[in-house]
Amino acid sequence: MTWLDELDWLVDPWQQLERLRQETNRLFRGLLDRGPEFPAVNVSGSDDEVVVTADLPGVDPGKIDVEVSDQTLTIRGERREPELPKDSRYLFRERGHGRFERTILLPYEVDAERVESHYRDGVLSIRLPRHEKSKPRKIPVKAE
Amino acid sequence: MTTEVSRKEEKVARVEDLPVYVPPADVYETPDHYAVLIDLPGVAESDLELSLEEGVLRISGVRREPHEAQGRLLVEEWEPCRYQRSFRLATDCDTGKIEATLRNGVLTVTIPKTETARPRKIPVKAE
Repeated sequence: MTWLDELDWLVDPWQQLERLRQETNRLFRGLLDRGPEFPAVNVSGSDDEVVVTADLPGVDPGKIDVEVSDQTLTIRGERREPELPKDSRYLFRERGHGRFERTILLPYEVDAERVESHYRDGVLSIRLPRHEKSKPRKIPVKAE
Repeated sequence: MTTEVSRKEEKVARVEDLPVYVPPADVYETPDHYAVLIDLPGVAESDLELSLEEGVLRISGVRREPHEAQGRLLVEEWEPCRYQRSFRLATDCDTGKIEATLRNGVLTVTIPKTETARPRKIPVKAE
C-alpha cells in the first residue's frame, strides 16, 4: 500500500500530461542521448554582458565548478543522493542524482577575470561581462 | 507597442497566470516518520506555501523572474511558474507535528508517524 495518493491528476489532467511528457523524456534520455540537459539554463544577453542562470537544486554550492574560457562556459558538479536514515525505504523516487557537466557557447568572448557567480534558492547565477577586445568598435569615417 | 509592454508587465504581476509545473519528488519511509523531498529551484521561502486540509498536504510555490536577467533571452529552458503538488496522507501520519525546511532549492517535509503506528518491541517477561 502506498501512503500517499497523488492528487494532481484530479486537479489538472493537462498538468499530468505534461509530467508524463517530462518523464518520457527522462526515460529516453539515456537511449537517445538527447532530451533536456542538466542543469536547465536560461541565458540572457545584452551588448555588455551575458547572464546564465542554472537550476541546481540540492547541489552543495561549494561543490560547483564554473569554468570560463574564451567563448564557452562550463558548469560541473555533483548532485548527491540523499542520505537515508537506517531502516528506511523509498516509496517513490523521481529526483535524479549523480555527476553533471554542461558547456554553453556564449555569444561573444567574456572577461574571465570579472566573472561573478552566486547561488541562491537552488539557482546558480553567473554574470559574464563582455571582453573589451570583443566589443564592437565604431570606426570614424573621415570626410575629405 | 505600448499595449505589448503593459500586457507583459501585467503577466509578470499576476501569479495566477503563471504556468503550473509538477516538480519531481522523492518520498521515503522510516520506522517512525515519512519524508518528502521536492525540487523547488528559484522559490524563496516567502513564496512557498504548505497547507493541510482534510488529510491532503498541498505544496505550492512561486518561481519569480530573477533580477539578474537583463537584455535579450537567448536560451530559455525554465520560466517563471507555479509549482504545485498534493499528497493524501496515510492514516498513520501525525499531522500535528509536520515540519518543513527549504534549503538550496529543495523542500524537505517530515511527517512523524503516530505513536501507535510506530513499531514497538514488546518485552518478554521471564518467570
